[in-house]
Amino acid sequence: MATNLEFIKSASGTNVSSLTVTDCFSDKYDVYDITFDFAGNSVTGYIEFRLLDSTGTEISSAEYDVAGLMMRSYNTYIENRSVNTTGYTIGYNQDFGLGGKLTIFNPYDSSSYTFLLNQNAGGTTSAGQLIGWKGIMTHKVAETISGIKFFVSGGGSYDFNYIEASVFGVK
Amino acid sequence: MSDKSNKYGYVGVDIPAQSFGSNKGVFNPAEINDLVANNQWTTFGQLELIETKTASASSAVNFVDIKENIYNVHFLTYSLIPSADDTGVIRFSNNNGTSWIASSYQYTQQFGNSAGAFSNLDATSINFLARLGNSTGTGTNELTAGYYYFYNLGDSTKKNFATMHTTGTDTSSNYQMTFGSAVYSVAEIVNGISLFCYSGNTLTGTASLYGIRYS
Repeated sequence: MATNLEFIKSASGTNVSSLTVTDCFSDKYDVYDITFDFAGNSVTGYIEFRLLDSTGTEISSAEYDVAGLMMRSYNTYIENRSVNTTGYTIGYNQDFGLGGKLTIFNPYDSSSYTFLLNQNAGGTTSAGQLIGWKGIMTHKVAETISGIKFFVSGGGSYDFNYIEASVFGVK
Repeated sequence: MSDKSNKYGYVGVDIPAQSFGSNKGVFNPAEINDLVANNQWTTFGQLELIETKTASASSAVNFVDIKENIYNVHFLTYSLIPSADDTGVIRFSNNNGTSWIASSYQYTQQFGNSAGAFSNLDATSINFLARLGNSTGTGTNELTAGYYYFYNLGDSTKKNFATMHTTGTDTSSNYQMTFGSAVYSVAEIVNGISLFCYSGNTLTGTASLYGIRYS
């Protein structure tokens, strides 16, 4: 039975297009909680997520299955799902700001797929409207995962005004 | 940072800088207390109980000492039953509970129940943050329960976000759930959280508020 959270490490950046948290998983925990908050800039949109392999290399192969519900306070909800995709769309943000949490299962176990739960609250432009996100992801290769990466999907002027994440082991 | 004062068991040498996960030396109780106060002492258990409230036909369950200056992420659990059919909701305070904010909220919650009804509950301008459940009944065990995460309550430069997942029983005895997100769209410090029935009924049950240190 899980009894508490144990802080492992945090990372942050300003005016960056990505944030990588390296060597945050180990054989000490099976389950991890990751809190995060960020704001994109006025033209940033979808926010992406990938895992890092045991060497710290970003996994960009088509090894992810994902499903999520994009919940807009101002419009209909949108299902966001894909199989054999190269990453996970974790949320949406311009400069509204966003706060959320991931739970990741079995990342360090080389004999298991890695599974993820995601829920966050973000939005559109700074004076705009709320976009919530609830989703799941699995990385369909049994290998050791050592870290994570958040990044914006647009390139160019698409950016995070700020981003910070903290990793906890669930003990 | 280092100095040559005598502490942490060192005498006359550069003293290692102390931080969470990297404490070096031999520590006396006073030194440990100082390091704990400065978030420099390594101790695990970062999900920290702030307060548990027990309600008995209460008009509201209010948390007004939420330690928002310590925690960037708060975690709320609750298990409540209203005195009559009603929907529980949340509001924030920016003055330690002297008054409760009734504007500038948005929420979006996916609703579903065991009778097969699924729908979207949402608003772009509403007088409460979000729902604790949806139209909870008052029969035996017909309570509303769930959890919320709150983000950035102590940061005056950021909007105040929330995510939630709720469960319970509705007024027709259908088992129901909601999950979703919410925001108080004003960048200011929030220092109070109130749980109450939207139509004025009372609540009975418990609620606990936790902080996640180093979040």
